[in-house]
Amino acid sequence: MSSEQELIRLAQVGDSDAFCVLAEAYERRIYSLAFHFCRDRQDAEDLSQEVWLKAYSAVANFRFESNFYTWLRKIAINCFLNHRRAVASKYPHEQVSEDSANERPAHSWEASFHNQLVIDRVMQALSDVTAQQRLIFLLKHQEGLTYEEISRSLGCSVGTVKKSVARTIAKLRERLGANEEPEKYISCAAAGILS
Amino acid sequence: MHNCKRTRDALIDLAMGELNEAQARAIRAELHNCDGCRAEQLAIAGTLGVSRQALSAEHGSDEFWRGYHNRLQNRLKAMPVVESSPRANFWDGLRAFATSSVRIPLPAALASVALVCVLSFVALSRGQVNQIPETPIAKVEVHTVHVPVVQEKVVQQVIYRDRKRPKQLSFDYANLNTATATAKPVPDSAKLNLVGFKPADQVKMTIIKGNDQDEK
Repeated sequence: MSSEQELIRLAQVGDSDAFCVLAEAYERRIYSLAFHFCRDRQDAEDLSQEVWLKAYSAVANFRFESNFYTWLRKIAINCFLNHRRAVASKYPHEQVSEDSANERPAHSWEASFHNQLVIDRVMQALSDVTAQQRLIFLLKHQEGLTYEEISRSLGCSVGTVKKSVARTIAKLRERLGANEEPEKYISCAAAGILS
Repeated sequence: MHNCKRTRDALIDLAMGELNEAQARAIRAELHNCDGCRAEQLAIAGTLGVSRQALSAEHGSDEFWRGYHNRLQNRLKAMPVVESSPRANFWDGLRAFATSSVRIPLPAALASVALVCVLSFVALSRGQVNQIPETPIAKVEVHTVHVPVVQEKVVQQVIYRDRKRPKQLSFDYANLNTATATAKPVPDSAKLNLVGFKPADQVKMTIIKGNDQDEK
């Protein structure tokens, strides 16, 4: 029995410390997904912690039929969709705050001006598309799900998934200037990121 | 024949790893023949590479993550302990089954609803046909009634008498060979006598001329 399975079994009988160890292994991925989905640090923390609380209350029903992270990601997607519905009912036209979208975090993870420039532009591009298109792009590009898996998770057609990905890539190209001078700009930006 | 539009439509699928090996090889072969499509493919790949780097960039310092984890731990400890039990699993499974939904095409859903309606209508109509109408059970009451017996009375009356009927007819029924053999036997007194009858060889017909006025 692997240590992850052992931790899951301990969590299933109510051991919160074991669940915290599990959470430590995946919390950055879940937080990252939440942050790119809602584009706000505080919302991302609330949303990602809500995912963990729901996972803890449902871990007793985990039957080891899939990978733990796959199961966790399903809970995260449901939380994100619920969050999107709540935001949509609160703000019918989804007023995106430019301040929050362009908010530059006060952490030290932006190592250079180039890095931050590219990250800001990617975030700006992601804020230009709808929440669903953004989530589809993140699930495809960051999580590596197939079109079919995404369509099943979100309850939409494969065509919608493809269009969403194409639309988001078009926005990214527009924001990164890839349409005008692709080789020059992207290679410069990528060098900045990688440095 | 190279088709730029078709090739460019497939470039995102190629970059996202959605094409199988044969399809990917075919698209790559197309890219060798067209500079425009190759530039498009480089632009998409570069965009996705940069965005992947940006999205996977570290989101916080170690201090941020320590605080995040402590907050999560406190919230988890504040939650009530949830233990799995077979009974809870059974009810959860039942609830999940009852609330589960299946996505089917709209025409199929409409056809199913129509089928259910028709079957329900047929079942109801058959039930009405086979249903035996409830008739009230007759209540039997026995009453003894004394009825006076009517005394029997014999009435004799002569209905018809033929006073003018001859006593003997001169026609012999015995010589007739008719199909009415089963007829009632004729009394001997009523038989006709045809002895000595000789039919004539010629038929004589006498025509008497006249008119209606003569009769008047």
